[in-house]
Amino acid sequence: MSILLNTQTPVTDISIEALVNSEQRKADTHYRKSKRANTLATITLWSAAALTLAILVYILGFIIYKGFRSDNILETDYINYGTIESPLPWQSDDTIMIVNSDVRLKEINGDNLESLLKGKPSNWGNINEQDLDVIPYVLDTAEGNFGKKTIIKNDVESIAAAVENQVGAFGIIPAADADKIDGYKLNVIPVWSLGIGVSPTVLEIKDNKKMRFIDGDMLKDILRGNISNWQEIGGIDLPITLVIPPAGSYEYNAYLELAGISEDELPDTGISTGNPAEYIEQINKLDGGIGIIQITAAEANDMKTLKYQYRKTGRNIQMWFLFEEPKRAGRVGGVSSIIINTIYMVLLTVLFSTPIGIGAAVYLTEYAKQGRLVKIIRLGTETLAGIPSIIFGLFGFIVFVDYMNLGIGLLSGTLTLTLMILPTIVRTSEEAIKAVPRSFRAGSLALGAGKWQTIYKVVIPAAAPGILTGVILAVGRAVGETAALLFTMGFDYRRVENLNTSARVLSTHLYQLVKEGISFDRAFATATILIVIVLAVNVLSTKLVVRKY
Amino acid sequence: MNNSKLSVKDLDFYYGDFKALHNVSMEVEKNKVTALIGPSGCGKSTFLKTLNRMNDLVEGSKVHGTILYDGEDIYGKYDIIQLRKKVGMVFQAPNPFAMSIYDNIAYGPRIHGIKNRKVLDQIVEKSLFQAAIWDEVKDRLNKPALGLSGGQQQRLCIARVLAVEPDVILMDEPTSALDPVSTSRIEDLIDELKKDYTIIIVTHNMQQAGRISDSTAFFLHGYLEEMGQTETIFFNPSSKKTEDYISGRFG
Ligand SMILES: Nc1ncnc2c1ncn2[C@@H]1O[C@H](COP(=O)(O)OP(=O)(O)OP(=O)(O)O)[C@@H](O)[C@H]1O
Ligand SMILES: [Mg+2]
Repeated sequence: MSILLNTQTPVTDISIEALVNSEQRKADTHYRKSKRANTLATITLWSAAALTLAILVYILGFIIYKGFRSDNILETDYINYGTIESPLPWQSDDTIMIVNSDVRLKEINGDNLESLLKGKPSNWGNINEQDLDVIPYVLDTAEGNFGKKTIIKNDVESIAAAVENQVGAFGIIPAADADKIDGYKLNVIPVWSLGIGVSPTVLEIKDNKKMRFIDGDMLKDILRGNISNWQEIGGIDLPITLVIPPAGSYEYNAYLELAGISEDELPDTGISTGNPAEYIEQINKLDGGIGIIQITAAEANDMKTLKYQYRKTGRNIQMWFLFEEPKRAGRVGGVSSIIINTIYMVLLTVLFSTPIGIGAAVYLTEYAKQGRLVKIIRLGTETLAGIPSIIFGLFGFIVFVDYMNLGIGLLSGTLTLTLMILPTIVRTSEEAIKAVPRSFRAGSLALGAGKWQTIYKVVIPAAAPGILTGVILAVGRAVGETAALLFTMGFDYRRVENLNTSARVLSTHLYQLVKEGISFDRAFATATILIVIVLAVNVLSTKLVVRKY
Repeated sequence: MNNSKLSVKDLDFYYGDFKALHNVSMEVEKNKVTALIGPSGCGKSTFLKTLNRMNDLVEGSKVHGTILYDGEDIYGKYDIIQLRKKVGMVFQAPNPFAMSIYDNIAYGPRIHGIKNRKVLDQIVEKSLFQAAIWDEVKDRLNKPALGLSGGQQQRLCIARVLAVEPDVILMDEPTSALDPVSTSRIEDLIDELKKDYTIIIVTHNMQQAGRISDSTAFFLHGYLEEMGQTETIFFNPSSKKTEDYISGRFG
């Protein structure tokens, strides 16, 4: 305050006081305002940062979550209910399915099992996405139509031994012989055979409504007698007529298990019958009829079935996905050769672009006269860096593939990528080289070193971390690049043999998987691998950079 | 004058149109320490850099006059690489390269073609020893040089110059960025080195000039105002301007 007073020209006491007060007030308001602005800025900036972080975490988290976990809603004719010992319609006795332990199989439905035995898909691919030949074994007493490749044995033990030792082998044995396979290293697979039979009246369309599917919860409610009208679960206005399977039958036991009730708790509204033929007839005849039924029986009796909807969760990406070769458009197998192609692509791209990029950067910073030409070149590189990659792809197609006649393949693709990432490498290398202190150059020159010696031995090593960062950045872009490769590198997912072979990489594989609607699970698994590779490259490079100086 | 290592005659130096040195003539004696003093901007650094032709790097610079090194004109046919090998330079701010201590010292010899590891080992040890820093770094030769203290870095830079076996060492305010202890270590070192080398040192520190130099040159506005035995310059200068400067009346 005293300072303030001293600076004032001497005036009367009152006016000084007034002046001081008004100054004080101004200062207070000013202080309050600036404090408020500060708080506001902090909050705004913090929110921006938090939002960015949240979006990042959400995206990455989502993709990686989907990559590691598959979670799909499926609709099938079959209820997801299977037992180890199951009735097969063409066999008079209950059957057990045994499978070689290398076959990734958790369950199978009756249709698939029948066709496997007929040798129709001769490869497991259709059933479990695994590229393996199917080798079916049956006993000589087994009934049914078997394919030519199906091997017939006289006893259960030799089937078990064959299934244990032969990759891709499976067999069916009578449930009565279950004890005979003890001690063999093989998997026993539950077979789904049941569906939901309904009367045709249930599937009629009324008021724009039609019963389409039933899920586990709805089924349970119906079987427990908790629902009395189809309307309640999305169907038409029609009372439900629940038909209970003949006591003691396979369907009967499944009923109790699916409903989660004991025999005494069977709903009174249910219509019971002791006769299998009558059971089927009642489901068919009674208005709003529903009953659990063997799919084959339904087919044989022309009975309508309702689709069953269930949620299938499980691990998505697994080790085998990394180490198996892709087959059949990537529907089957893993991505091993695609990963290798990706590595080749990255290595080649780095090999092409790094020397050229660093060379150009050195020329621009150390040799070129800093005039208009350099400015134009700089503007050019900056513009190039911003051009959409699909245009590079087009250019690569016209120039490399067509004009230079390199064909669609690894070389054309990597050359296109090189062009694409070169500007980034040049720009970052330039910055890195410029950041090397002038005194380094002076020190080297004063020792009698030549210009090139100085650049090569002092400047570039000192700029190496920065240059490396640029290269990594560019590699990150190259790894994930798709558009530039569409017309230049091709889609062959086999391992590339030479520079001219078409090669599919992770990004183009992902593109194909989604575009052709092959599998979202596989797309997310592939995306996860891509992300992990980019992360790994980043971590590795920071480790490298921090290494010595 | 047989004792003369460098002999400068009628030297004019231009940065473009700006004339930074006017008609400078000077004899630098062998195995002596010559101090260059004068107010800021008077051309001391410029003069120093004409001696190893570091000024060539400045675009648009021009030199008139002659500089003889051991009787040969360095702006004539003399090989510039040989010149810089023979006339080494220590800069104001320590500037070790982003390499290990060993590689910093071995850098010069390697450039001049020495590849043998044993020979390099010897050179490195000898240079570091001469620069009085061997004991401090002998256990960490492979550590980054940038991890040393400022004073150590400057002695390392001196060792780096010594490693190429120069004849003359130019120093441009080598202690201005250092603390008093490091400064006095470097001064002792200079005293030690003058047995084998001819040293020219730019300094703003009058005491330092008085302590370490045999002769002193006083620059003013691009002219060499006066040069002579350090004692004479300090206690009995013939020029009024020198006296004013020495006594701190300006500058
Ligand atoms: N590269 C250059 N281009 C143009 N002019 C320069 C350049 N370097 C120095 N000069 C000018 O030449 C004159 C002498 O500079 P010089 O660096 O030799 O002074 P100095 O005596 O070393 O000063 P100081 O004691 O501050 O280091 C100054 O006027 C300076 O502005
Ligand atoms: Mg200077």
